[in-house]
Amino acid sequence: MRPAIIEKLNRHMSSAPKTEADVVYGLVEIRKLLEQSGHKERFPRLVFFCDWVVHPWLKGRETQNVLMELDQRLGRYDASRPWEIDEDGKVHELLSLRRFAEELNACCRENGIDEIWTQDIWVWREVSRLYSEIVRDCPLSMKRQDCGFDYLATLEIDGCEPSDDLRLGAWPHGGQRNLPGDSGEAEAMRETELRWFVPPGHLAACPNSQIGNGSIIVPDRKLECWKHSNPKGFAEWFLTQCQIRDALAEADWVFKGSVEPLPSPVPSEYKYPLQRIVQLMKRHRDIFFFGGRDIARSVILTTLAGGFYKGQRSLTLALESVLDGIHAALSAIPQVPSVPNPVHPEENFADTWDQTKYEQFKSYIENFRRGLKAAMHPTVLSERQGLEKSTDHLGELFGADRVRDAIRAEAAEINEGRNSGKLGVAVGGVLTGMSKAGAIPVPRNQFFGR
Amino acid sequence: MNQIKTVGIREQAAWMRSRNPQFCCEINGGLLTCCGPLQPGPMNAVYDVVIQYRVGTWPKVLLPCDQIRPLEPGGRIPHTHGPGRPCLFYPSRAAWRSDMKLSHTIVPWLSLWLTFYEMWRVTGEWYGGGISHGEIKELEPAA
Repeated sequence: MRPAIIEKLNRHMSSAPKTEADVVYGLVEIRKLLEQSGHKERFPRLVFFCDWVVHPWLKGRETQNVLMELDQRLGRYDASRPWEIDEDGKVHELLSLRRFAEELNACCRENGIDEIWTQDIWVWREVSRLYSEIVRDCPLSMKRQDCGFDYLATLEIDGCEPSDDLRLGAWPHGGQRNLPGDSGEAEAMRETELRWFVPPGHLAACPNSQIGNGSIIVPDRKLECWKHSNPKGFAEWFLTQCQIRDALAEADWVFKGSVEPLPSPVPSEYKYPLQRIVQLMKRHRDIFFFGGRDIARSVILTTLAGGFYKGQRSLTLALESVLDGIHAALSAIPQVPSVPNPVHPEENFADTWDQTKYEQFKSYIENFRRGLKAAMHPTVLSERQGLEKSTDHLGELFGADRVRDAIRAEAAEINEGRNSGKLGVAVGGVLTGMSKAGAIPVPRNQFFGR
Repeated sequence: MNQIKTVGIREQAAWMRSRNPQFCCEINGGLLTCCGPLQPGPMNAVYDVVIQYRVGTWPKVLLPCDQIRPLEPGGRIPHTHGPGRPCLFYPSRAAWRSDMKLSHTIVPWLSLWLTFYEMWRVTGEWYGGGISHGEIKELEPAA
């Protein structure tokens, strides 16, 4: 049996593979050879790679070893700094096809297989490419038993590309080291490696029935510990907060006959005032902290905004109310407070705050509140300057470019109202929508003059 | 030929007082003069405006005391006749006739003009459209 396999492999691996099927066939035969020869233990990584092409769900010991080592490192994974995951290159060593090539080369030599797959780096690159295509749709999963709860980690292969590291002359098994050394060949001599990725949150998806109510435990990459969480419950809580309606505000809206502002072009996904409030808070956060999001994390802003929202329909009034509420609450708490998840109080969203960060967060809220009030309640002097003065304040809060964009959008909407007959004017000369009681339409006109 | 029904000067004054109670309107020798504050929207400035009208002429609108200013000294403000005088409509019978009410045309157009003026002050772009003097096709007294 063995000589037959060796004969087949001699023929098959004497030329470069052309299709994925060629690679699968070669590795299946290698796997059979290892099984028959009883040398599996000596080529663990080769077994791992051979198994992967035919088993979408690997459960073997070597697979679990690979994933366990990866997972230890992925526990520190930061999506914005992916290179930090492998500072010492061990992950590269683990998943690099170099080790795969080394063991395949050694196995073939040991069994007298005269192959070209690992002997010619050009051919190996093609083997690597085809291999990555084969396993791309076969993510590997593992369960950990040492976490005290169900833990499921998944690794997906994203592709295969040349490594950035040049290892000229380092081809370990005496392959074609005598390739010309010009720059074009040097480029081709780059090793290839699997380009793998872990979707943020994917590795952390670990439902735990023991906690219940949709709560889960997730790894905190920065604090390097496990944290309780309940993202689904939090999303439901936020939606409930969005739908709060202030009965007094509604009544005021109807009976006092206040002027209805022109409708704003709001994308449907941000239709609730509370959602737009959170968007504006994030925008000012990005301006205030120059893009840094560590101190005013989105989940903190969302929690505080949702907690202090009272159901106003007017975006500006609602935002002012939310900022007033947050400001008053923080002013009463000199020491670093916790910001508990409203649906899972064990989770503190502000667990990374220290006194300095807390003070910076308070400064951010105070700056936002002061700027908004200046825009909403102009002095007598600035009242004379109208939109110009307001946009100065709004530009400081949200960025001048965004304010200009908003003005253009507002102008476009006004013109659409003019053309469609939906733009009206209320008693007193205030422009409004035609749905406003007492509004009369603004007739068409053409401004004239230079 | 359809005859238009001219709105009398007293009726114009009554409509103005009704729709814009913040205005002070007087008729003197057939000339209606309405003065008062106008704020096109909650984010806009409050302007002191003067609107004058005599039947058979074009209405005149004035924003006195440099309330509207060019972007730089000596510059021009879009769609104006001169300092403090916005051009609200193309002077033709199709655009404005004496059967139209000032309160239903001139005042809304002035609010609109002021809105676009403030946007222009911020962005340097005039979003309100219009016709420039170079495109004059017809200039005649109001009927």
